[in-house]
Amino acid sequence: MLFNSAEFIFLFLPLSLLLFFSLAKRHGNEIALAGLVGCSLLFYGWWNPSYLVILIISMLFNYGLGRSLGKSNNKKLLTLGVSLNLTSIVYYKYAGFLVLNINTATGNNWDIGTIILPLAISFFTFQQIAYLVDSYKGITKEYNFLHYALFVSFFPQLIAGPIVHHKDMLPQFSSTRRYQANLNNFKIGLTIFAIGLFKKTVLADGIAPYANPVFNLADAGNEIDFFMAWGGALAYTFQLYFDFSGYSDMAIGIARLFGIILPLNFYSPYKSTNISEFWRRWHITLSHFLRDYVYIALGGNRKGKFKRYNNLFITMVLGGLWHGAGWNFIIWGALHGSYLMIHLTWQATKHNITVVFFNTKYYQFLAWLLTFILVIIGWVFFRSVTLEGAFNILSGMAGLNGIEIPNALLARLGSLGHSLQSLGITPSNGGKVFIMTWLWNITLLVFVVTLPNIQDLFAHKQGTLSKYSYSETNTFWPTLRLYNGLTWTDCRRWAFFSGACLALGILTLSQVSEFLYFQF
Amino acid sequence: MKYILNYFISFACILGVIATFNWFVDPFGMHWSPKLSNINALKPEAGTRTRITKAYQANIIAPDVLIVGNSRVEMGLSPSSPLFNNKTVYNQGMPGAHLVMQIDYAINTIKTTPNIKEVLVGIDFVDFLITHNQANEPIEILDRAIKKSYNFRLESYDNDNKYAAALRLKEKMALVFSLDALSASLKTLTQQKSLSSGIDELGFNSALSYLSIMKTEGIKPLFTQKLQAIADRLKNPLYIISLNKPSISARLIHLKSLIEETKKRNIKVTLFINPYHFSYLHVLAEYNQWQNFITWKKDLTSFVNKLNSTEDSLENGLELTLWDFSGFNTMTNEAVLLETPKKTMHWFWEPAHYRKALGNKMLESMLNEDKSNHRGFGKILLPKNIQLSILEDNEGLKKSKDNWLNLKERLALSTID
Repeated sequence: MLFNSAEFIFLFLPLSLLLFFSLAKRHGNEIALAGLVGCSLLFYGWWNPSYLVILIISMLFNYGLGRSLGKSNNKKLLTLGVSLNLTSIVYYKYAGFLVLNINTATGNNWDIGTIILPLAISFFTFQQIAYLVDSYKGITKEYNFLHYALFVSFFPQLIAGPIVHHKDMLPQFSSTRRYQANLNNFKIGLTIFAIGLFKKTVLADGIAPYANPVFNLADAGNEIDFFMAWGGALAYTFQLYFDFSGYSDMAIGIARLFGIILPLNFYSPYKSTNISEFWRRWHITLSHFLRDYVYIALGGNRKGKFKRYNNLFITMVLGGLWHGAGWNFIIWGALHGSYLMIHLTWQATKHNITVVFFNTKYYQFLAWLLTFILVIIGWVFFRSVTLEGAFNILSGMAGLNGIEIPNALLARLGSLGHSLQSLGITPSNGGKVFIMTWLWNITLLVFVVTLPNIQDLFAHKQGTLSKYSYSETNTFWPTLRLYNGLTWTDCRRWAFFSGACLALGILTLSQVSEFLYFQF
Repeated sequence: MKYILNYFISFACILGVIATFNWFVDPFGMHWSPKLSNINALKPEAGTRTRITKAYQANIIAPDVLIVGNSRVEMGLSPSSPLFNNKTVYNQGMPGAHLVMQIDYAINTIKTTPNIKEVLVGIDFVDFLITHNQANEPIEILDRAIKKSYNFRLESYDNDNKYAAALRLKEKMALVFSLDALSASLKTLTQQKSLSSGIDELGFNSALSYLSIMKTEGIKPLFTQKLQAIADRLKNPLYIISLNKPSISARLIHLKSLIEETKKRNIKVTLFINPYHFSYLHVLAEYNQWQNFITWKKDLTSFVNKLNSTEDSLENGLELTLWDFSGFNTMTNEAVLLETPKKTMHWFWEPAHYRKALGNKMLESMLNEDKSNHRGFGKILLPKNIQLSILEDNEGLKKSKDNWLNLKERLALSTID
């Protein structure tokens, strides 16, 4: 069941809310939480009921192990638990990739058949690994199974995050105050949900038709010209952001209807003026997980500069691999690891020199532009199915495949059109697609660098567990002064605006859509 | 509570306003709400949903004559032509639709519309081509995949789908309650005075976009793009004979089902092979499809003859006619005047699509009751004249070769062999 489906919005969500609050009223919090676990399992099983077995076994195993670790502090047990979790994820997610590479390297022809990847396995496995590690460290308290099951399976965040941490979620489930429908939570939840739905269905799905065909062409081995390559890469850059951040907003909004506050997952990442800042703002909950359970576990920055860079690089490669079994994801991770290393070096160098230019708006703009371009290059690897496809797009972006402008446009440009052709620009087909691609890209570029985000608007109402609000650190935000201080208020204007977002989102329900992050 | 009330009021109002607006503009030509000139009379977006609207609209129009085929038919044969003598005609031609789909839609319309007296079926050689893999597949398997996408839409085909009625309702609602429809409505409003193709109530495509392209880009890109597209389509080996059923093209079996359905209802059927510009036929020849083309015509002729020879046909006197407009003649050999690139051709838009003027010539021939002394455009293919017709086609191909080479050179079609 998708968040942007009629059955979810008009049936599942209202019935779940009704069940949860009526159970809480009549039978108390624990029964209400049990009802919510039931709803979450139904939500998960909707795609494929057989997935449920894996999820339930995983929850039972990790809960039992977590309890034992809390009591015994046994490192071998922890190693066993983490290994088994990783084994399951390796089997389901990476076995095919591993066998393929072994076959390529050795010339063997091993076949392990088709393994269907259980939905959201990366999300719920990592949440539970964190739980095991913290149980071992004695950081977690002892929780009952019902609360634990809800922490793992809570449907708003189960499929595509935010990746929640037990210390953030379990105290909220253990509240002794009777759950009851809270008007304020409903106002905030409905508004955030509507904005998220709009971002996903109107913006992400709206620009998707201008990204997918370009990558499909490149993956099929076709040469992609300059404008098509940039148009497609930019379109995917925006599609991914609005898709994933829209989903996260919807998750935050839905959870809020139940009175649960989720962590922030996106904070205007495309406003970042350096790559470290980008990772502080993009898929924040994954970045935190990688920092706390991979980077720090590897030694973090405690063992010198070289080791620090090394740890950073390994963490990012693993982060790439988390997204999928493929060399393109590994390259994407390695690329970001390299970006981060270069940025750290630059920061250290910059610290030692004083140049007035660094404090100017021009520098800030150039830093943003460079960061944005590097992120786009990364997304080319992330989106392409084949390595050849990625290089086809990148060579197009570098202008190596020539520059084409639609004939319909060149013909209308008159003498300028002739001049452009004499400069080597060649006429092509598809004028309408060309214009729509760039109209969408320019519009969404303006959106991402000028508008405030959900966190800015709802920070004063604790929209998420984060404290960010109109942050100016390492930010390129040319219109900041225009919006600074704009927050959501309980007024007619906001009600109309968010109602409109919901209506526009609902109007896309008959169109085909899929969340990109479901595949991870 | 006031906030939530306002939230849902805003939600409902916007939904209602957009749906009403979409219903009024009716960008896809589904509801045919009142037409106002310069507001919603021209429907440039209708072409994007013909596979949906034409499934339902044919029943609403309840025509006396049904025209079946692909985009050539949709743009070439006008239901409003006076040659139809005030009969109600619906053009169910659908761009890019598979032959199986064209026929299933026609059968559905015949089954659900009582008035139909005559069916004109435009058939195209390329619709009968199949790949090597397809040639080895049983026809039922091939067709099942195609039919799955639209069976729910056709009342007489929806037996296996218990949700068909709901799906039809959902589909119709989506043409009003959707952001796509809103976007199409806005485009419709802004393109009323533009040279955009629109579909009218009777299913005819005005093809005015060609005029717009001619005006800005000229005729050259129209020819180069279309000929290149045909070449791309033909570059992989294609066959017309089903390996499972030697001597019968798999697609002919499907055509037969339409003819059987019309026989049951005493509906007159005319099959016709669409005209092609000579350049189109030369691309077929250059991609080794000329012999297949000839074989296909022979197959069709014997297929029609066989159907006409059945007891049933002889008894009820309903003779099936096969017209061939695809040969070489003054119209299909029309010169492409690249020196005056913004001047439209008289008979063709581009190599694959003929204009209404040529469509009217075809109608003159097909609708004329007295076929014994036919001297006009096209010819009726019969076993007794098929060999002669093939000789003429071969001769036409030879004679027009120089013109083709000249045209090819001027169009700089280097990628076509």
